[in-house]
Amino acid sequence: MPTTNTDQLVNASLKLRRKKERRFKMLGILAIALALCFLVTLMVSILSKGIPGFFQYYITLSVDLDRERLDPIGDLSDQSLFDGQANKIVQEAIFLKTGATSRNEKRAVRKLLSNGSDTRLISFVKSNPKLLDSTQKLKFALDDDADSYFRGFVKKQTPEKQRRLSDLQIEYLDTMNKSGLISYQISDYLFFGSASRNAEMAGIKGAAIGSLLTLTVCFLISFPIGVATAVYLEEFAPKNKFTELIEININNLAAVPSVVFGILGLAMFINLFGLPRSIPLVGGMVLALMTLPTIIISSRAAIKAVPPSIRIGALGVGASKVQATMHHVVPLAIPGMLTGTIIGMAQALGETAPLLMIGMVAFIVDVPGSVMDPGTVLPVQIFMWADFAERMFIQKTSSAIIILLLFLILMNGGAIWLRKKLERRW
Amino acid sequence: MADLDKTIVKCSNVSVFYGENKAINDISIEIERQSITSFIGPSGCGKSTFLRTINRMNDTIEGCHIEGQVMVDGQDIYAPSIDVVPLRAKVGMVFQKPNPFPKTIYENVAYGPRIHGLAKNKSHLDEIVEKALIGAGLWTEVRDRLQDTGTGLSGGQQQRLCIARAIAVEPQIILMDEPCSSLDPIATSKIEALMSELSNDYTIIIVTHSMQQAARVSQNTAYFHLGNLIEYGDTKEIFVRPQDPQTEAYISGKIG
Repeated sequence: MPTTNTDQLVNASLKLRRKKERRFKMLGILAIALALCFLVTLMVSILSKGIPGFFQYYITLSVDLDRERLDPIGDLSDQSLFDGQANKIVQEAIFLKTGATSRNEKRAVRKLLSNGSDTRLISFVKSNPKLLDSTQKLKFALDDDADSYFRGFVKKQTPEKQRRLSDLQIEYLDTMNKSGLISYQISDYLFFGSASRNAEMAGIKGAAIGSLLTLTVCFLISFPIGVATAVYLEEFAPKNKFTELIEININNLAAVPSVVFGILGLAMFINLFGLPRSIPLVGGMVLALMTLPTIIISSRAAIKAVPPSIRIGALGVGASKVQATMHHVVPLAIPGMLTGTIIGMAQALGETAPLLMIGMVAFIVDVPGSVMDPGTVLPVQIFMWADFAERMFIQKTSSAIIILLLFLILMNGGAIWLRKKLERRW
Repeated sequence: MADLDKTIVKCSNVSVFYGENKAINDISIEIERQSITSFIGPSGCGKSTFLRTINRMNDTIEGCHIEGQVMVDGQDIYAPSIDVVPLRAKVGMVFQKPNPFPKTIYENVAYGPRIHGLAKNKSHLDEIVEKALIGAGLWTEVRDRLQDTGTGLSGGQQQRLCIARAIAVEPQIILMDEPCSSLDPIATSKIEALMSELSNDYTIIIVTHSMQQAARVSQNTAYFHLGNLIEYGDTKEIFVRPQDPQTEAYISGKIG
């Protein structure tokens, strides 16, 4: 029979306890709110800069596709087309629109167009040879300075000497805009262009394909080796000092800074084996070294999660150790292994430092066609763009970050989906 | 020769060690063919350990080693030349907790015959599976859903599925390690009836905590205590007239 005294004591302490609990809860909510705050700031910052980066300004010009001038040899070969006067034809079209006649005016107008306009015209002719000898309305990108003017980064009020566009150029841009020649639309250069010093032409295609090739190499190396290592260590290896040492080492390797793997790759693959620099093959191998511990650790966890009764059941009907492992344990552990692998791959996709060490930071215009062609990867491309001063590169950097984040979300989502789908209960 | 035929398992001076610990102390026992033998005794007395020496399941436990001789069907199963795979095909095992593979009912039963190459073709395999399921008294319940997962069955059905899995490879001996300890009384009585039926074709050795079960199903009973075999003989004799005071104390519920 509790005395009233005990009751009072309990009630008194209860008040204090409840207060402490409330305080603890408040701290938790505060921490989450703070984290959310950071996340929102990050998203707003990236999206506000990045979404405009997906678009750019184009000018519509009526181009006279004169066969003689564009294709002097007449076989539509690259040689012939580049010998032709594509550049001149585009310039004439814009002179016509702006009414530029004097040398000075022409020079001012010429600079408003993107440097890549002739290439753009040539590739149009190549894919539409039937349209030769007609006049077509085609869109050409504006130079990044002109682009920046429409975005409001170059202001009229600034003294002429301090801005990159002259008064004359601004006047031309305004008149063209009034006559509806300027359009703001999704940038095809961003998705289909490669590395370029000209901000308006720079795109992620080369880097995206480089990333794909690098990740493929990384997966093909690290998944089989990682899974085999995990299966051996978990199911077959004797438990002794030596395997214990291996285990400790693998766990430690997972925590090694990634740049160290880059140095290792530089010393081993490039200096010792003599492989070329900057190629996705070496990049993939370096990333595989980095991903291996992650895959091994998660695969071992997946194998450990398979109940021993399954193994014993298989051994009990006379399966050999290898059969019990291959027929029962590994199939049950595969979802966990794949989840770990995808997360490892996502890490590898976002990795920059080790790839800088093996020279994947080189400026490469060509899209890599195989794992032996020099190339770069998305995060390194972002790193390089972030270094350029042009306004447009800042936006494209954010755009590329958004694309990279989308890939990462896709991969992590895939891992979650896989786990949910293949998850088994016993 | 007739004597050897009647005995299927003959253990001589068997001791089992877990590292430094001696779990089984110098046990000699002979087990009759096509009968049910039960091992009883308090927890930790070594009866399960001893059961697992008969199909070398103890090999899977790190640091476990065995002294003495275990003869199964006239063959020393701890001889260096012995491969455990055919041994375990000959000496099947059913475990305490039903452990069907997370695969279909069909695949559960077909697994053993398949890895041992017992089936000539698909229809032969179907036959083997059907025969095993009939033998385990499960056929009528699952004949229409062989492609459902085995883990979806009830506990008692799962245990009978495990029995079907064991008899599908037609072993000579079936070891059962407390097969009913996780089942309700109805499922238990089904398994017990099944054991009696199976003992026409197979030798069954069962470890059980239930003395009533030992008394109901087995012809011979062995009482273990602290790694020693205290008493072994005809079940009725053991339960009615135990020779050893320790056995009597356990059976009458004074210890255990």
